[in-house]
Amino acid sequence: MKDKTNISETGAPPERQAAGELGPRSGTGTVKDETKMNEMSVPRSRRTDDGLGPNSDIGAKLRAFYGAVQDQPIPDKFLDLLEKLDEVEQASKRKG
Amino acid sequence: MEQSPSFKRELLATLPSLRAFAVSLSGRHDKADDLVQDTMMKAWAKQDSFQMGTNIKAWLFTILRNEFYSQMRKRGREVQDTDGAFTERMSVHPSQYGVLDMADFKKALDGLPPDQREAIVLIGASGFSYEEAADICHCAVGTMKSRVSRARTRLQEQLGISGEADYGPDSVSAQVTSQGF
Repeated sequence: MKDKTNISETGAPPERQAAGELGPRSGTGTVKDETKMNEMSVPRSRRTDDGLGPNSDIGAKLRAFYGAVQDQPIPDKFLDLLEKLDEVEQASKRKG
Repeated sequence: MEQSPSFKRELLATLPSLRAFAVSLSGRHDKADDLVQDTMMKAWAKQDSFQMGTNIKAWLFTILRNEFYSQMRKRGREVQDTDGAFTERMSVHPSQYGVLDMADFKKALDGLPPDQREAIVLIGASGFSYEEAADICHCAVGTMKSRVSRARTRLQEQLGISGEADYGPDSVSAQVTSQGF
């Protein structure tokens, strides 16, 4: 499913067999798993001819770096701020 | 009229990615969080100008980026902490790549000119199309493409990665492949 999505949306040729340094077409679970994971993390509506696709080392590092921040829980101070903004707005609405 | 609850929800959903972009821009977690907070307040104040159903992520990224550069202009250029705060956090959140490996990557990324850095992050990690990224950065699509390309080349050089090897089979596996057919 992911596979199909990846191909149709990026217009990229099926490059699954070339899974970087891990030894393409070795048919091991490792290669398969990593390919799958990379595909999932590749943003939609992007071409792979820019060298940042699922088999690109730079692309993978970039997404690992970005993902490390993105996967952190949202800090409470942000949630508090949103609540405060919401309260202020509600209060001003009530006053008219 | 009652767009506030949904706006809040969408803002909340975009926060993790917005934060990652802020870290990419500023190079530091503390600065990045200040930037995100300023962006949230700006966005909240401007929410009437946002049309529900359009791309809120691109809208928020644009606000954050504008905020970042306007603060930079006000303060003058500051020296970035290239391997302090981030490396510390990374050790708590190790990825499939080693911590040291990632620290090297972060350093190389921080070493890029700001326009190239934001370009490769928006395209390679944030998930924007070239058109969206060009809108966010107020530049032409062609300019965005060339920035991404230069950024990638520079990172590859600095990290000693060959771009081509990332695509095709290396010499050893190429042999295996040709034997197999």
